[in-house]
Amino acid sequence: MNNKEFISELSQRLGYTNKDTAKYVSSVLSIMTQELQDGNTIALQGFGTFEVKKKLERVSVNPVTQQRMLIPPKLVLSFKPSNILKEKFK
Amino acid sequence: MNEKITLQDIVNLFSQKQGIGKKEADLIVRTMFDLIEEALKTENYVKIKGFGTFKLTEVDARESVNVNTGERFEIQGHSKISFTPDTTMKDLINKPFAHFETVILNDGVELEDTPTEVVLEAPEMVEETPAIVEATPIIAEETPVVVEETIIEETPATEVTEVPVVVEEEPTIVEETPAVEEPMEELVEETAPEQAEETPMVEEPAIEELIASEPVTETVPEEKPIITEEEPMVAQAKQDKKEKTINRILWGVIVVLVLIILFGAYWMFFRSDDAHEVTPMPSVPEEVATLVEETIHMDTIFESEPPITMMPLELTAEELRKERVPVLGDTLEYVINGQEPLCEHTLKSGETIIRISVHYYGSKRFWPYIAKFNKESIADPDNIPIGTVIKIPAIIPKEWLIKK
Repeated sequence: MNNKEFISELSQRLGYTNKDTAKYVSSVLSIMTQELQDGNTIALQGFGTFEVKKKLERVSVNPVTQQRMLIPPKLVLSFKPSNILKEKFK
Repeated sequence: MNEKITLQDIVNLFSQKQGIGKKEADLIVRTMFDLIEEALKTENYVKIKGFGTFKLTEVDARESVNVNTGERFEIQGHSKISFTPDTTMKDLINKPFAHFETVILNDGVELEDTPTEVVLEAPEMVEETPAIVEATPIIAEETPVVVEETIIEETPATEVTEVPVVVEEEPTIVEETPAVEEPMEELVEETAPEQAEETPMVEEPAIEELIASEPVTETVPEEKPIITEEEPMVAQAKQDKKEKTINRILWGVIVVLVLIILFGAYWMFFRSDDAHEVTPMPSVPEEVATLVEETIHMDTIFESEPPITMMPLELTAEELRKERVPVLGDTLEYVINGQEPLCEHTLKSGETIIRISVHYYGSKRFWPYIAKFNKESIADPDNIPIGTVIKIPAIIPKEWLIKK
């Protein structure tokens, strides 16, 4: 299901127009990204946890050229599904 | 930071932002996540623009071992949910670290240090090396002075003063002991020119010792490059500068201390023999010269050992006392002859071993021999109890032994 289908499906369920739904969805997502950028974790009951994790810098070697590269540290968004959600898909 | 945001918090923020009721906002957010869940069930994949993609991936069945019991068991195949944030989301999250870039490392570069730091270090190294260069010439300047001083002081003294004395005394001794006199003459004649040649030889190790005795001056500047070679951080470079100033202060203190010690040694030594010392030269080289002499004396203690063979004849204590003038010059070439003392001396108040040396041998230079000869009774040559009976050893030039 891509974004278009998702929005249209959601609008059907909620009874809003596609435009409004898209606006609301992007609004919710922007709130979430804002919180994540602030370093907070978002724990959604029955769904999972979104968390920003810091990956340390590391040296990787290109196996072909043997060239060593220093990969800088970075922040990554990780999602951990809750146990309830996991069980549902098992 | 590091707060846990729940669904309720999102709903509250959402309703505020959009100006809609909390119930409505709650419904919207809940249905959103419910839909994601359902869509995953039906289509295995949900893509939300500006957020990311949820995917169901199949995990094959595999065997595993129970950690506690060691039993093998099979983990059944199942599907798991994976989430990959899309690029815009990734960039937003990684914003604080966005300025970092992947760097290709050259062979010489160490793990933690980026090349920029290495470049910063280079000028630091250049600044500090002159400090070492400055330090060494100071020592280099001192040493030639020492060499000149000692040679000028000692060699003429031995050459000029000794030879006539021997000539004067010759008749008297010849009358008494003709057999001994010949070697004696030869010795003095030989030692005079040889000493001139030998003294520089002797001086050189002594100077080396002198330089070695001030290792602090050398080691202190040497520490700096070691620190810089370790490629410290830029902050450490500042510390290095601090250390540098501290080291300079230390160095100064050490120099002052050494000067004081040298002056003390000079005073101790030259106070005792008042005969042939005119006004002292510029203080520092003079003192250094005395120190060189000291070191030579110390050497003699270790190098000279009791001779195996006895000499045909020995100089009596009276003869030695008569001479007074330093007939036995300052070289390494003397040994204690035999285990029998020439005479014994009971230490009186105010006497030092150096004074005794002057009294019996005409020179303070021979005190180490006395100290060595009286090892049992003298524990500390600097502090001998009054009334100690000191045995005065017979000291002969080493060459006499060699000649035999």
